[in-house]
Formats: sequence, C-alpha cells, structure tokens
Amino acid sequence: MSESTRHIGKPIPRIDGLDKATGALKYLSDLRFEGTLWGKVLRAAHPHAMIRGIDTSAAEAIEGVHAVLTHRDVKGLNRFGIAVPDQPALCEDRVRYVGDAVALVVADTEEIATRACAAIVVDFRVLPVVDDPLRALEPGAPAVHTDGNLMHRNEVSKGDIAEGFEQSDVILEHHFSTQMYAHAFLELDAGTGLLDPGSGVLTIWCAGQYPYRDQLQIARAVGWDPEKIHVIASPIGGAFGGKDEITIQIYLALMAIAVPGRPVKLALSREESMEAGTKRHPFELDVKLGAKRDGTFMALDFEMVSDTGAYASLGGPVMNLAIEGASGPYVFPHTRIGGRVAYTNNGFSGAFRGFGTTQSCFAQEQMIDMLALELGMDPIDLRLKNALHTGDLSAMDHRIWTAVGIEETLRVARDSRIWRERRERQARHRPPLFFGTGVACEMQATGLGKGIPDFAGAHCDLEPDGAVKLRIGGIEMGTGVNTAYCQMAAEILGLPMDRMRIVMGDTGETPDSGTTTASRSIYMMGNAATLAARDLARVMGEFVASHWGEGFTLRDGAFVRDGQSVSLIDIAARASEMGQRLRGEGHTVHPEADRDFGDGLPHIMYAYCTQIASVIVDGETGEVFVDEVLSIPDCGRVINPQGVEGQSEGGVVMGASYALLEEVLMEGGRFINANFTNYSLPTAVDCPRRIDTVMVEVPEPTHEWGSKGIGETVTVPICPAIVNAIFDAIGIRFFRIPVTPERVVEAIEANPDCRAARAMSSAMG
Amino acid sequence: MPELVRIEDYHIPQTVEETLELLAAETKRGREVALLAGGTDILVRMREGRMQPRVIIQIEALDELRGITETETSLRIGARVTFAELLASPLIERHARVISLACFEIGAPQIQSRGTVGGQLGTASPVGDLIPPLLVLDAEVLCRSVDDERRIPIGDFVKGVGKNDLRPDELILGVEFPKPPPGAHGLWHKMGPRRAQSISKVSFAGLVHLDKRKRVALCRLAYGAVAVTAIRARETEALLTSQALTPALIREAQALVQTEFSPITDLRSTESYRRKMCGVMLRRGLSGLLEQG
Ligand SMILES: Cc1cc2nc3c(=O)[nH]c(=O)nc-3n(C[C@H](O)[C@H](O)[C@H](O)COP(=O)(O)OP(=O)(O)OC[C@H]3O[C@@H](n4cnc5c(N)ncnc54)[C@H](O)[C@@H]3O)c2cc1C
Repeated sequence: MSESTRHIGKPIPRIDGLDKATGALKYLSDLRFEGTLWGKVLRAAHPHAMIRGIDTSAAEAIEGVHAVLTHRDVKGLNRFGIAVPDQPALCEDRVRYVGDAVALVVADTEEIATRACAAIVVDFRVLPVVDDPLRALEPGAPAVHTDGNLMHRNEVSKGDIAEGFEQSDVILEHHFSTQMYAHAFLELDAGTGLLDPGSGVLTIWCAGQYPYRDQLQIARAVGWDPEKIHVIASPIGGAFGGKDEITIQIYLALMAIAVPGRPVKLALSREESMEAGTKRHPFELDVKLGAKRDGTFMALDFEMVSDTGAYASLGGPVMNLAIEGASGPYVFPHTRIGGRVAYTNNGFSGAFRGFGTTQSCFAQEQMIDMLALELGMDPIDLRLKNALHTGDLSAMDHRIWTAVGIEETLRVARDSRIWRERRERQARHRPPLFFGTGVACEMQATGLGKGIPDFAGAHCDLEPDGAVKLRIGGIEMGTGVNTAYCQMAAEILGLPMDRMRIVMGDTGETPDSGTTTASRSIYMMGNAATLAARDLARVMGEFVASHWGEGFTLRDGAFVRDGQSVSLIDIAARASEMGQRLRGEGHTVHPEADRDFGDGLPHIMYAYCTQIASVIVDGETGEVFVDEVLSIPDCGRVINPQGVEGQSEGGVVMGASYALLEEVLMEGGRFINANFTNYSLPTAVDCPRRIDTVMVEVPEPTHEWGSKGIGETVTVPICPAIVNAIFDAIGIRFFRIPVTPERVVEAIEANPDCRAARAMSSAMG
Repeated sequence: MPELVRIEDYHIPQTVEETLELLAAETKRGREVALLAGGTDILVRMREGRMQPRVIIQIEALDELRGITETETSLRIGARVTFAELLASPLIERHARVISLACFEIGAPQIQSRGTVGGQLGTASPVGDLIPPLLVLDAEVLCRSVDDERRIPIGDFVKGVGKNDLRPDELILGVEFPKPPPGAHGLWHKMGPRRAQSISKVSFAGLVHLDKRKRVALCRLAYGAVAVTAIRARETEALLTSQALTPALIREAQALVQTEFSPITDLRSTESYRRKMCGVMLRRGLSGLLEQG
C-alpha cells in the first residue's frame, strides 16, 4: 500500500454532498410532472381474510376519478417476490396481512383518490389470525398459505456434533429472542409512472435497490415487455434493505397503464409504508456451545425460528445468512446449525442491513462472552484463540481462501484505550451508576452466494467536453459509493475529481450491475468501474495512436509523448467530429466457494468487524447510556476513509438502537406503533457520546484495489457488544432485545444477587 | 390516511374581541371550530382524523395574548407565549424556574418555537409537560367569552385525557400564578423513550421551599403520565410539609409516592416502572436539595 495515489484512500468529499445539504438534489419522490394524477392504494382492512367480492362502482362514479383497478385489471402474473413470486400485486380472493393491496385508484388529486378508496366496498370474510411463529408451525394452526406455514428449513453441519459436545469441558445452553425492527428510511416510498402512448414505453421513477430486477418484476406482474419498461431507481433517500423488494413500482405501472399519457404519482404515508413494507425478521434462537477448558471451541449447535410474515420475499435467504453467520469468525470442529422460517399474518419481513446475521450474532457473541466468564478468560483473548484465518475451514465446512482480517481487528481492540482503561473507569463509577464494557465480533457474508448469478457491469464514457462519465446500474442510497467509484476511475485515468461524472441505477442509461445489497457494491461495482476506466484508457490509447501516432502514454489525464500532449478534451473533440463514441466497458463476476450447499450457500467472501462499547447503566431508572464505541471494520483497502467512517458511525447508531430502543409492536397482526410518534428512533442526543473508527486494511487479493464492502458488518456486532457491556456493568444477561429501562429495572429487582442490586443495597444501608 | 375534511372558513382575527365574537357566532351555528395557535397538536390530530374542524380561527395575530408580565405578587403568561419565549424569559427563570426546566425538554427547538401555553392547555394531555409545573405553581387559567370571564385553578381546568373545562365559546387568555417565596426550589425530571423529542413516560415537577433549619416550609409535587390528568401528590406533600428534610424522610416519601397513583401499562411503559420512577424522581430531586445545603 506504499504506492502513492491521488484519490484512492483519500477523504475526498462526497460528490453529491453539497447538493444534498442544500436540497438542490431531487430525489425521485420529489419529482413532479405537468398534468400529474394521483394514485392511492386500498389496503386490506384485516390481517387475514377471504375476499368475497369487490364493488368499485361507487368509487368510479366520483368526479375526478380516472381509474379504479383491482386484480381483474391485471394482465400479467399479478405476483411479485425476489426469491419466490408469491405476493399478489392486487389480492384476488384473500388478504394475508394488513398491508396487502386490494385496489388502486387514479384521480385528479390525492384527496379525491383517498375518498374514492373509501368508497370501494370489499366483502371480507375474516379468517383466524396467526401472529406467533412458533404457534404457526404447530399442527392445526391457521394456514397462511395452502401448503402450510413452514416457508423454509435449512441446516448445515460439520464434523460430529455429539462427539464435539462429548469432548467439551464446558457446555453452555441458552435461548434468545430478537424483535421486529423497521428500516425507518427517511425517504418514504413514492414515485411516478408514465406510459408514453406513442412508443409504448412505461417509465417508472421510483427508488429501488435493483432497477433491472424491478423491471423484470414489473414486467412479470403486469404483463408488459421488459424492453418497454424504463426504471429509474437512483438516488435513494435511505433504504437499508427496505427497498430491495418491490415497494410501489408495480402499482405505479398498473396505474400508468390505465391512463396512458398521464403521469401518475403515488406517495405512501409513514403509517402506510410501515404497515406495507418489509421489516427485520424477529427470531427465536436456541444455542448450545461447547469448549475445552483452555478455551478451544469444540461444538456449536444452533436452532432458529424466524417470523417472515405473510409472504416469502427474502425470508429464506435471510435465514440462510443467519445460519452462515451463526458461528461468527471462529473455527469450530463440530457444528450443527439449523433454522425454520414461518409464515404468519405479522406484516412481512425481508432484507435488512445485516441480513439474518444480526440476529444470530446477537446470540452467539453473548454465548462467547458467557464462556469467557465461565473459563475466567479475557473475552478478546478467547476470541483471538479461536479466530478464523485464511485457509481455514468454516463452520459450514468450506475452505475460506479470501482475505480474513478478524485477528487484526481483535488486536486493535485489545490494545485500545477503551479496552485497557475499562476496569479503571468501572471503578470510578458509584451506585446507582454502573459502568461496563463489552466486545463483539461479526463475519458478514458479502456477495450473493454460491450458484446465484453475481455479476456487475460498468461503462466509462468519454464525454464530448472531455469529462468522463461512469454508468453503473447500482444505486446510491446514501452510502457514498458514487464518490468511491469516481475515485477509482479518476485514479486510473489520472483525472481530477471534478472531471468525473456518474449516472446510476437507470435501465435506460446504465448497464446491469446487479443488486445494491449484500455489501457488494465496492467490491463488485468498484471492480467493474475500475475495469471500465482501464478499458476506456485502452480505447482512447488506440484512438490517439490512429489519429496522433504511436508512442503516447496516459499520464495525469493526458496522452503524452516527449513534450507533446493530447488532452482528453482534444480526444473528445476529435471523436465528436468523427461521430465516434469512446466507451470503456468493465464486467466482473463474483468468485465462488469450492463447495455447494444449495440455496446460495456458502459465500466465499466476508466482511469482518470487531466493536467495543462502553455503557453507563443507571441501576435505578434502568436507563442505558452508550458512552463510547470503538468500531474496527476490516475493509480491505480503504477507498475513502470518510465514507467508511460515515458507514461505521451510522451502523453503530443503528445497531445501538436495535439493542436498546426500537421495536415494531404488533397485536393480532395489527401494527401498534406505525408512525414516528410511537416508533422511537434515536435523536442526536441518544447517540453514543463518542464513536471512533479504526479501519483495518487486510487487502482482498481478488479486488482490483484490495477492497471489500463494510456497509452491513459495522451495524451488527455493536448490539451484542452493548448487551455484553450491560452485563459487565450490572451483572445481568439480557436474552431479549431491546433492553429497555423497564426490562433493566425488572431484571435488577428479580436478581437481588447481581452486581448492581448488591451495590445499590449496600449503598443504601 | 383518513379522509380530509374540507375547511369551510379560515379566520385570522386581529383582536381578542373579534375572536370572541367569531367564537360566539360559530358556537350558535353549531359548526365545529378550532382555534389554531402553534398548530403542533391540532395538525397532528386533524391528520389522524381525531379532530375534524370546519372552521379554523388562527390566533397568531393576537398580540394581547403574547406577553409575560409581573405584578408585585404574581406572574402572568399570555396564551400565545411559546415555549421558546418562556425559555428566554428572565422573569420566568427568576420566579418560576420549574417552567424553564420543563420547557427545555419539550420537543426540540422546532416545537419549542411553535408550541404555546394556550395550546398545551387546550390539548389537556396527561403527558403535557407544562401542566405539572403549572400545578405546583398553583396557576389559574384565565378564560374569556363575549359575556363572561373566568379564573379556573389549573387542577380543575384539566379534567381528563384531552378534556378540559373550556366552553366552546371561550378563549384562553393565559395563566397567572403567585410568585413563589424567594428561595423556593423548582424541581423537574422527565423520562421518555428517548432523551429528546420524546413523549413522557413519567414527568415530575416540584416546588419546595426549605426554611433555615431545613424544614419543609412549602411543598407541592405533581406528576404527568401517571393518571388521566397531570396530578398533585397530595399525600406525599402532606407527609413532607412542616417536617425536617432528612434522608430518612425522603426515603419514606419515595415509598409513599409510589403508591399514590394508579398508572397504567401502555406502549410507552409499564405500571410498575411508572410507580417506581415517581419515587426515584422525587428522591433524587429532594436529595439534590439536601446536598445543595
Ligand atoms: C414533534 C412533537 C413533539 C412534541 N413534544 C412535546 C413535549 O415534549 N412535551 C409536551 O408537553 N408537548 C409536546 N408536543 C405537543 C405540543 O407541542 C404541545 O402540547 C403544545 O403546547 C401545543 O401548543 P400549540 O400552540 O401548538 O397548540 P395547537 O395545536 O395550536 O392547539 C392545540 C389545542 O389547543 C387549542 N388552543 C390553542 N390556543 C388556545 C387558546 N388561546 N384558547 C383556547 N384554546 C386554544 C386549540 O384549539 C387546540 O385544540 C409535541 C408535539 C409535536 C408535534
């Protein structure tokens, strides 16, 4: 990493920063076209019911209503779903959750559309609701789908689990639970659809994490030629996985088709978005961990159940990643890790930053903490002792031949001030305040996994004015990847950043680069962008050779040959004259594991992260204040340290809130806190007092720059780190999150022998 | 989203008289009227369909409802005074610090600059953070209609969840309360799901005056979010009043106040947590006074 760079590794300001800060940037939900009509969705009134009839006549009779649509108007499959298209766009005979869509209205104004929705008469026959995943899997539970409530089951193993426990000196066994949790992206689901009657092209302006798949899902659901669907999906004002699945794109398409030539806008309210959209799966986890007295991990048994709600979406893959991430970045000779996914009438869950590993890591990293205590070992030393290295066999029994930086992150953690001073700081606190420090690690599978097509394309064009434009099919959802891609291309071409342009996430303007999920952007699209820039350099070199002669080399953004210099502006001018377009193309395919366990397992590349949290617990009020956090992601080579810091800090805040604050409350399939009045998100003063990020750079050899993605891993270990810190502070383990003040107070009362209870009663007496 | 109701008339009166006449006329016609002050409650309720006024009377222009004024013995706060104005007022800081402490924790700066005293009383929410301070200050609510003027003790004014004693043709002019004795301490503690912009799980206001010998000469305590209205802790006040403030007495008061109310479990907190926090807040407030010396 000693080679000197102009852009790579530098804290280059975000190329869209100023426009975002000033509001000049228009999100797709901000767009308003002349003559726009308004759409509205009629949602299910019940979490589970048969539809016996839909009468739209009264709605149609309202002045200003242009169209009222039901399933009868849908020409295509009328289904969507990333993994399995099982979710109706407009329900035919049955609704399975309160967000299910029954009808659409297009009207002159949003008010008229709302009134018309209210005038649609749906004859429901209410069915029994199943709102508990464990009950859903029992015989006799109300069936959400005709083939039962078991949506998915998977299991992996290695060695001989029974033998592993036999050889263990210490065995721990515990049950954990995690809550339903909302993405709470700031930009609500909103967009516009327009059918151009002349060309027959259907244009959809709507945030989505994979425009080419949205195009396919729209085409399939509404029966339209995908070539005649133009999806513009970027930029996005926050997604976190919540805009991976179809949100409103199909409704926009159906409405636009109904009123050719008129743009139709649909904008969900916060409540509608909360009730209709995906969530983070609630999990129940049973874990059994065995180890030798010297700390060597021997056996790990995991059994999980997740509640995926009414439809499949990515319920299967999320469980698969929970399984794959369950071991954490450690070596286990014997494992058995299984999980079941249940259908219920509780909304529907899907992709969410961390993608299943969030849940299994919460359990596993507490198990390891408990083991360290049991063995009298330092929790970091115990983790180091069992840390995974390149060339090791994973807990699923495949060889990991990519870069593994967990040991380096743990070494940084062990030497950190926050870790070294933890006992001293603990001793300085007096009841009722208790100070504690906790650590946790994570390995987050990146890329899409074995057997799942995982490719990315990028184009790099010389523009007529001599600037360079990247075209990438991924989207920018706030992470800063657009800046990073430009840094990579500018580095290759020797250009200043202000000569770079980029267009993203537009099926008319960009090649297919796959999803913007799975922490794959910097790795996949970064590689494609780099290859495209290199290809443009080659294309321009050939052009220069044929117009200016041989012997030129590209240096600092110009082609030079002893004293003579041909700038990109010269080249662009000449190419324009000749009517030629100079384009570089980059295409890349993700490497795969040598073994295949089916269902996209395993992955071959992982992001690693260690995080330390210190907390102050008020033993009387139960309030937990996160004091300091040290976040140590293994990034491979850092492209933009400011970008990594931003991701790391945002991830920490999100994960801390998962540990302490946020929970989607449901009762009988209905949402209790569907808006931000009662779904509390952290404010600036709820964030940790201080967050530091130390970037560990263990280069990933298969990447052009040695980089990999950290967008997810930085949000995961913080949750168990905080819960471990709470234990360190008050001596109580929390097996369920969020750890609310009510739960802390209750637990201290129920455990009069815990550290906090004893200290407080002796302080009183 | 519930269906929006069409607003038939929107008035911006310039004087209190004009406002009262509008209220009187509309009350006779029987249309649902809403006064609009800062709008931080009313807009939320209209959006949720919990309030569907046909007529809006915006009272932004009523300068008569604006000031914070004092007499020899009392303070008066106009209904249009915002939380931000209360926070910036040296009069309030000097005589009624408990109000400043509470206002600092209401919403965040945006809400503080819009939300008003009149709106807080109009909404009469059990989680309204200004009401416990007004209770311990023994405030009276000043109301006027075309042909009547009333002073209602704040404890009688708030009547239930979202219920108050205001008549449909009445306007709240403001609140008035006697200046507490010099040296009286204002106590405030609020707990919500998070540390800012949060709806109280429990809130506590106290006005306590200790004489030279650390005896409790004056003690008024009030809580929010533990009953259908904000409420005084009369039994605990009686226990403390005229007694020497000692750690033992404080602990006794802590135990008593936990049993004084019957809070409920809802999505924000639990009954038992609310009870306990009533005690913890009181003990911390009173212990602070002892330590101050
Ligand atoms: C994001 C947010 C955060 C909030 N945080 C807090 C908080 O932390 N603590 C808290 O206590 N409250 C909070 N609130 C609630 C609200 O800000 C307060 O209740 C505020 O006092 C309302 O004042 P307003 O002027 O905005 O009332 P408005 O909404 O204008 O009016 C409220 C009601 O009072 C009536 N009214 C107003 N003025 C008069 C008058 N002069 N005479 C007769 N009736 C009148 C109106 O007709 C209406 O019924 C919050 C609100 C929001 C939206």
